[in-house]
Amino acid sequence: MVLAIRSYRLSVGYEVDEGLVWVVDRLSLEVGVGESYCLVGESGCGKSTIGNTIAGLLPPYAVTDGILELMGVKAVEGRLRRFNGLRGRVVVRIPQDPAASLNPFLTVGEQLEEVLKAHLGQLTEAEARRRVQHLLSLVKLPPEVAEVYPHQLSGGMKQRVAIALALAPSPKVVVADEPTSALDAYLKFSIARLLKALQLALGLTLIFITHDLTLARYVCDRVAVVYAGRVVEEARTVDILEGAVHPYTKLLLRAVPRRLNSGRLADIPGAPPPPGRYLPGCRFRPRCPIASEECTKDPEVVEVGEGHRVYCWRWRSG
Amino acid sequence: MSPLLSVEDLYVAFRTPKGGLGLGYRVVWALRGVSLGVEEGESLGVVGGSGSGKSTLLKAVIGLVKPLKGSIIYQGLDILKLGWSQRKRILREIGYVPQEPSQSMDPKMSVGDIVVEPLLALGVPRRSQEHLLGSVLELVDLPREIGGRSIRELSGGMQQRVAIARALITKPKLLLLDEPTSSLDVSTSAQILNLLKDLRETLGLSYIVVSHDIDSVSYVADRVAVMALGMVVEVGPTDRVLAEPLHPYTRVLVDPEKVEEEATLDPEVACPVYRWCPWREDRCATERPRPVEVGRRHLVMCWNYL
Repeated sequence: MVLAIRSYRLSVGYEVDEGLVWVVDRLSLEVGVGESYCLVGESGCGKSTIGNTIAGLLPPYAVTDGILELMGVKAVEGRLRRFNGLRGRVVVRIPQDPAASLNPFLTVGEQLEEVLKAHLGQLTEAEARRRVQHLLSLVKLPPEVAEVYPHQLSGGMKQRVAIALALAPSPKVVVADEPTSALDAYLKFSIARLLKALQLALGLTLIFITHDLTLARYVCDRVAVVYAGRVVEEARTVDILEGAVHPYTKLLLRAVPRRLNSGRLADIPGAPPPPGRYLPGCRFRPRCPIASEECTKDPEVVEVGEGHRVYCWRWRSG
Repeated sequence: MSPLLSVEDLYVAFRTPKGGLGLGYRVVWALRGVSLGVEEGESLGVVGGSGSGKSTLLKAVIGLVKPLKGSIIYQGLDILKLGWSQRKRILREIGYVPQEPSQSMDPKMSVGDIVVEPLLALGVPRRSQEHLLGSVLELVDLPREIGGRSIRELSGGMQQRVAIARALITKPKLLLLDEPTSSLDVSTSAQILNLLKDLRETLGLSYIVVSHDIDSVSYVADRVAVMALGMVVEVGPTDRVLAEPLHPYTRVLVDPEKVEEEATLDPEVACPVYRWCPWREDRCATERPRPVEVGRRHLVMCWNYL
């Protein structure tokens, strides 16, 4: 498998008033070219920080450690970050809030042309217009949308424009950070379906960040469940949905209402710990129904099936 | 059995600026002839996409927006025709939990003051206020001490509990909940849905729960109504509607993966799904479908079932 993303013991922290707070802890992951990979977990687990690190969009006060390679090029090595030349042509991020990422004073066409020219150099008018139309057709928007200002579009259409903008420089890796959280249930699905179709048609590597495991089913080949800055379970999507092993993943799945099933939803007591207040050992321990003495040590990875990795001492007892 | 609350043929419109550089306003219909009822002890779910009018329906019931036409009948009395004092008496029996708890509560007030505020309008003496505060906080599983804290110090799930406590303090019979879990994380949302289920059992409440997510609504609702562009397109028992959705738009919400076309809604035609409906006939564009009874308490607004 050719790797699009490889991280090895990648840690990310933020320099804040209280000092340096690590948000992502020694993350090692490998995502193949053309694969769709999903990061799920509750708010505050470090999902977005992982996404921003891959997309090269960390703020200046962020600190990194370890290695991150994108399409074979080192993007992060130790405390150094080298994203120039990678952002755009190699990796892009689709923002969470499309409305905030569009310029209200430019038409959709002008904004797309702006990105095209920045990445592809000077284009003739005709060529630019042709490429704008191509991008709009990719995201299934009618050609007239090029003449329109963002405020004239609905929420779902704005998200499609944001996707077109992200695809303008022809990237290889796309990080979609909760691209559907501001949308209603049907639009969520239709945007997820569009991303899946684009991933397959353009051979993109897709990192899909969400807290909605059911949405992951439509979009992703593999899923990593993130808790408190660490991956706790990683497997093919079906294996997570039908054969989850980690107690956190199991509870997360049972907390989602399933239709025609009136069984009580799982209560995961408490909330995820805020960054910087992590306990030693397994970080899910205080909320875990099957935690025991041994969980005070850092869990080691166990391979429970093909490509199904879990970080839990007690996975057999759940 | 006569319903506890019913709305009949309700119309609500908003005036919004034309936009661009054009002056003047255009009228947008939020509700276009909605008729729905909820019985005592029953829970009705209302689902639909953004702009379907589901939040407006709740706002119309508690008087936050004024309907142009139609009636809202609570225990046989038309709320819209009552004087202010009578209306106030009825409204204490209807609790309202608005969308986005963090946006609907004053960050400068203490949690205790926020929760007892509805009692001030009713002139409840200070001592009983304290007593009621204690009992509603217990109902929503919040510690007593939280009364002195500010809403900003609380997590999203706790804020939602405070909003529910405030709605419960007047001892209502009916609770209106607007997207009670949309701004919450998976695990917190499960806690709130479980709480709503428990409250209904202990207090014998009726609910109208509005949400865009049919799965979370199905967890707390006996019946579910599907809305599209201000109209109810299907209403029926939750298990029936989910197992076998009849209206084309209900199918979109229940099984989005089975729908090939983009399910856009069009306000310019009589039936909002006309543009892509597989069963469309000529009259669907011009004549609004009448409700057809397809089962016990199960209505579909579609000419195909006539």
